[in-house]
Amino acid sequence: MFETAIRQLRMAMAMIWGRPINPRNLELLVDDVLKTLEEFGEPGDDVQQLLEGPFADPKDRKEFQNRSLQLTARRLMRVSPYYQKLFATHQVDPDNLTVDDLPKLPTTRKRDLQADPHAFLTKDGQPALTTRTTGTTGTPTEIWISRYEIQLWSALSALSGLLRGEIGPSESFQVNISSRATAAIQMNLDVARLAHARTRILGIIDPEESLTSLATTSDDAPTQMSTYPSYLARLINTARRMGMTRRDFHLKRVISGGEILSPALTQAAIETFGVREVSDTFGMTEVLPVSGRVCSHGHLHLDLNTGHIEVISLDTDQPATPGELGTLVITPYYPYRECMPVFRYDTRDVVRVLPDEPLHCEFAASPGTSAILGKADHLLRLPDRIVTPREILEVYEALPSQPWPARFSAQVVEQHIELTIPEAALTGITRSQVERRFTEAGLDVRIADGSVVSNEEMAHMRPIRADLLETTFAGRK
Amino acid sequence: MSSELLFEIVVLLIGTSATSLGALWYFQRVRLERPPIGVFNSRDVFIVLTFIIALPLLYLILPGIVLTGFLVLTFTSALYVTFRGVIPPKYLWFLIAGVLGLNIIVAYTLLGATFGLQLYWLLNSVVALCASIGIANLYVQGGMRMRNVAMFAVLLAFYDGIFEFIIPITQRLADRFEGMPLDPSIGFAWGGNNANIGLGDLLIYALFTIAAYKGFGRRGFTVAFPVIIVFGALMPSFAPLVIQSVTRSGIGIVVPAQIFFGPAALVSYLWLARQAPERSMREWYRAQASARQQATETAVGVGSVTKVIAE
Ligand SMILES: [Zn+2]
Repeated sequence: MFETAIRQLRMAMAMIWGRPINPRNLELLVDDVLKTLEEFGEPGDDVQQLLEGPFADPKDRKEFQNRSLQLTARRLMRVSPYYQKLFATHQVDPDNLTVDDLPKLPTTRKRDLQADPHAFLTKDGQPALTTRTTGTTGTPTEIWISRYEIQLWSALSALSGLLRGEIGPSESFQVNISSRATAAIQMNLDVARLAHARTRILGIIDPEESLTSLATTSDDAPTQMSTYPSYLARLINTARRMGMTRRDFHLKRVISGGEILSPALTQAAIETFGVREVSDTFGMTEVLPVSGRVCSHGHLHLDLNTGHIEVISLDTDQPATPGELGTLVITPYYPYRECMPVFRYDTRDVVRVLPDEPLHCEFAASPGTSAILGKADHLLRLPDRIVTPREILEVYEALPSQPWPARFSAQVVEQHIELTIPEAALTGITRSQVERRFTEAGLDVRIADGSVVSNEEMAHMRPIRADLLETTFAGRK
Repeated sequence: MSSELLFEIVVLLIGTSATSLGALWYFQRVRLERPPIGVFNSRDVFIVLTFIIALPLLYLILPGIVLTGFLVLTFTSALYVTFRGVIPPKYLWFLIAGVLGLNIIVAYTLLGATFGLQLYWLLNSVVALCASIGIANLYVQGGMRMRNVAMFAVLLAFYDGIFEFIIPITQRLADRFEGMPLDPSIGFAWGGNNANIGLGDLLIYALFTIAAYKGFGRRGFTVAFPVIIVFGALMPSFAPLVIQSVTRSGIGIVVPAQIFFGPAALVSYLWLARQAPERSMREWYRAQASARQQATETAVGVGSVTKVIAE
């Protein structure tokens, strides 16, 4: 009891003073949570307050944000070559920086990271692990992470997961994400280790192999699975083809991220795997440990304790107003990010700013936006409105042909959207019926004669994460 | 048997029984708030023990008024813990201030008269009783196990032994509190006799009772309660007959109770733990819930029988 109080105090002091948080102290706190759960079966009173952080109150929040931004900027000015130059050019005074000054500063984009990655490494940073992200341009970006960061993020994640009752010694995780997503994999391993849970890292392997693992009858059968929506779709298709039903699985929860998750696919996952919940999450190596999750009302709620969140208008770089579309711009705070930090990182992920009114969802204590609607470069700009990839995807994946993982290409032709789809999407439904579905959803979408292509051609035109298949001896048969 | 000894036995029996049974009654009915993270562990035992050892030494050197201030603070927080979930805050502060204030006034003004002395003891006893019930529940509901309590009692036995026979301050301490407001003990004065039992001992008995009941159920209690009566009240009372050095007639009688109780507590725990594993709070909650479920079913059963008869 006393030790735990001291550990919490140490963590709180580090957060208040902006000093590095001792990851070992945090890991011991995770142990304390495990012991608490073992003794009582649940955390004590006021756990909600602990989870939401002391900054859930809007008044305190602004002051906290200013302080954290100043702290982060001061450190970047000292140790980050890239931001030293940028702040000098824009005459940023870190000591007096406030939330309101941010729009005057340029954002950082992936291309800046690609152009000169070394300029982003801090002088005192100790890189330990890198995640290589391959964009569509083909130029890989390397994001370096330190030992401190990986330990800290994992412990923070384990702590909140345990307190929310989402992880624990009785859980067994199956991880079907790309083996190259090293930071995510490492965190999965560490969180499970800290929470005394089991982990199976499988990667993006042959779906049959993943399903065999999911359907294990022994008591270490996976209870939770992390994956991309496109791979989830392939698992659902394969399971149905193999005649597997919810009785074959022990899954309680699917954690999805990295791509847009549609309601149709969520429903299919619930039916096929018998899961209670499909959590839709947001995470990006560049801005970790800031992450988010979608609530039952469909908002994306990002963690405000570890970073500053902005939504900037698509065309003006100014803060987007309620109801407007904008891209998510994230600044992870020091001391949560130290090795290769970014400031005002434009994720290019588009969201809509929610109306300026109180929320009533389960995460209402922290502000939300709409769920991710797609990448800014994939927006379809019609004369009178902007159509987001999510709008098309949600209608498309709800087609009776269940054409998932969704592969289509869409472009604006004059006043409407031209859709190119694979033959498989027209199983049991005609082209005009598909068009009508879109019209009913308020979208003027047309499919031209030549716009129905073979499945192979479509796969080539529109790659998805589930295509990054990793081979195994079993999978090669 | 002298009237002095008889009186002491009566006071000790009443004091230990009231504390043990009161703590159990409270444990079965009141759920105290606990922090989001944290379980009472053996390290907390050492911390509490350090306080129990350090505080009396402090009491000996502190000037009277500072000592009283210290006791007011201690009892205010202890009574607050006990009654927070039971009495609304606005009345609670009023009540605590009233009881402690009255205690101080009586101690300073009425001690000359027998009635005054008795009122003083009555007030002290109520405060000490409520404080030990609340604190014991705070610890046990915070995860303190009977294993921890037994360890606590054994350590206190050493402490009692050292301070009784090697560095004899126990008696000086008892004298120090004599007539001071808020004497941390349950006691009474009658016919020239004066007997009391200290808060540290009371806390141990309260802890032992509820930890045994929580960890081992009804059987735990049926072992713990007699052990408290025999080793915590009777044996220490008869001890003065054996160990002459302990008696000092006229002024309150001090008993190194833990010397008897510590080893007995350890043996009882080991015996109980051999029969069944000690239950956690979680398992205790579950047992409570299923007992309630059964009670409901029985009630429903009786209800339907009544209905059948009525039809
Ligand atoms: Zn929400």
